[in-house]
Amino acid sequence: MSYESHKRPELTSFDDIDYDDFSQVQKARASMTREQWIKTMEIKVTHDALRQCKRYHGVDAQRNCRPILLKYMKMIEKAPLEGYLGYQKIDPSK
Amino acid sequence: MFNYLYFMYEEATLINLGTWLTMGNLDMKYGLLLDSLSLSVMVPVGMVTLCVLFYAMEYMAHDPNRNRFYMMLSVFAMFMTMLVVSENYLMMFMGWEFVGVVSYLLMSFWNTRVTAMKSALSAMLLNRMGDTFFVMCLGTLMMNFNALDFETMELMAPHMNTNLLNFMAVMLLVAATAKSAQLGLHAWLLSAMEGPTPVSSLLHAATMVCSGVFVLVRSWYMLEYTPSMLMVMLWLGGLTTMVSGLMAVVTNDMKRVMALSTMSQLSMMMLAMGVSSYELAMYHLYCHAFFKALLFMSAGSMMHSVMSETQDMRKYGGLMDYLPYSYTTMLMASLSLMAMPGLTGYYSKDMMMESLYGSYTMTGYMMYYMATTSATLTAMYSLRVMYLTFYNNPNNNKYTYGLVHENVNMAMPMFMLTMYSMFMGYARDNVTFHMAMGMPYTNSLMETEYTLTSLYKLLPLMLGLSLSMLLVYMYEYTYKMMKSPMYNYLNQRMYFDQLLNNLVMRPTLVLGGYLNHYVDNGLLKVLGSTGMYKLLNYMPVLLMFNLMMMFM
Repeated sequence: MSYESHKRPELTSFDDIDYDDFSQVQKARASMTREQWIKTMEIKVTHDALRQCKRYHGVDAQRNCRPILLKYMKMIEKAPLEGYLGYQKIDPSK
Repeated sequence: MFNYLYFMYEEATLINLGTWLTMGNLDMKYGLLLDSLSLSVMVPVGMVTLCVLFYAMEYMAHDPNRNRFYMMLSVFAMFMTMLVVSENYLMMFMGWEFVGVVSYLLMSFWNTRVTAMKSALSAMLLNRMGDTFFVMCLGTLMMNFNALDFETMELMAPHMNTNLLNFMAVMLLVAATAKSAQLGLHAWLLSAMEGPTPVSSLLHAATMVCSGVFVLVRSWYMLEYTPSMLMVMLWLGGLTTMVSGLMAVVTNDMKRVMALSTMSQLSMMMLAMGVSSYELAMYHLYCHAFFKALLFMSAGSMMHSVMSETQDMRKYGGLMDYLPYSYTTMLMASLSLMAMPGLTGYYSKDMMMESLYGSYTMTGYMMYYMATTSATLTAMYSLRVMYLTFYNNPNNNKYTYGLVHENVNMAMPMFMLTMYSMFMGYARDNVTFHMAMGMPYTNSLMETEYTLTSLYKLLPLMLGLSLSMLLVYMYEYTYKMMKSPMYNYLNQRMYFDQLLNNLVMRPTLVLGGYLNHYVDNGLLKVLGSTGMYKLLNYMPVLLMFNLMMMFM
């Protein structure tokens, strides 16, 4: 399946679901996990790009790789996978 | 062809051998980073290992367990290589840990000797203390940089909080202090001389003890942004080099003098790092490995040929005519260590001292004078070793001297290292002059070339030569038994072992005893297992009493 025809599943937020319906909770969980993994993979790709940039530019890397570096540093602020349990417990309806 | 004999600049290569483990976005890779820094360390590691293996084939030929010995030496070489060529801190740490373990095994090779086992244990425990700090640094790195590879660290370090960098630099410095035997955690290196001489030559002179310096040089990007830590390194290096020099001039155990000399040279490297001349520290590591390994090998050759195999220099003397080859090699190694112009040591050590002065800071000036004192002491104790073993009157019985002989099979590796000790200095530009291996280049080397007067450049040499001549004169003409308290104080290694025992070890053990008595077997039991058991045991009894009271 090509990238263009790939259909992303619809996002479900814990904020919009009815906690009594377990299928909805499961959907929200899957969405959250998926989003986090996407973010993780983005960090990995950026990290690889940063390292390649460093290797290519050598001692000039600090100047030439600055945009990627700043992007990477911004990304890792929320780096570790957190899972869904922390957010799920905050039921906004209660 | 010369690529294999000494380092010539090449582009960095990174070889990825696969992924070890993945934790979220953190990838731990098996990677080899072949850059100029790791390759220039690989030359002494490879060459000295090769020479030591050839040497050990003869030295250990009569040992029933020699296969185990050769195997462990080879395993050591493998892990040392891993430490040097790794591309991230975790792999480097694996190498670091394993060289520590192999060092323990090699030191305790003659395990029927109590002193050998004790010294091995001491080395193991002191190194583990340093490793604890290394692990703490690794954890901090993972948490804050989200990576462990050097490339990302190097790019991110300037953007990080200085306090954080200070914290990590302290951790690494303590780890390096333990591994490279700097003042405070140095006791293990002196007792490590109980091990076989090839081990002392390879591990405790040329390679393993240098790994602390290597790790610090690898982490230059961290140290560069923590100037206060650089100053700590300067003072640590300065004090270590002075103290070890002072102890070495009055020590009578030949190998221990050399161990103290190793300590002194390692702290010279620390000094160079302290003024940000990382490439000079690396270059000294590179050169020092060869002549120090040779020094140990010559001492081993001498000890091996004497029946009692004693390490006490006072039992030798007049060996120049009996062991001309060992004499020549030891002379070359000693002169190189003393930084005699024209020999390898001069080109690395002299540059470092000059650039200390050339940093034009107060600490730099002070460290220059400390390093000069240390270089003078180096010349003195090197010549003292030569005098007591080769020039002095024979101090052993006639029968022993009748059996003294050179060993041809040990001569070959010693010859290789002699060549390195003599001519390595001419390859300096291949090591340091290619953008300083990608590390910051302070330019102080060029600066001092044209600004300092000859006095500052030649002061260490002049002092070293004149005072060591004076020492020989004193030994020849005015010798008498030393009874001064200062002599005893330094001869007993400043009572450092005793101080460590009385001030640190014993109180810690006593505290441990109290904790065991009052916490582990006290509070935790009262609140835990015993308390629970007693509660459950007496509860029914209490209930029964209650019931009885109800019906009475």
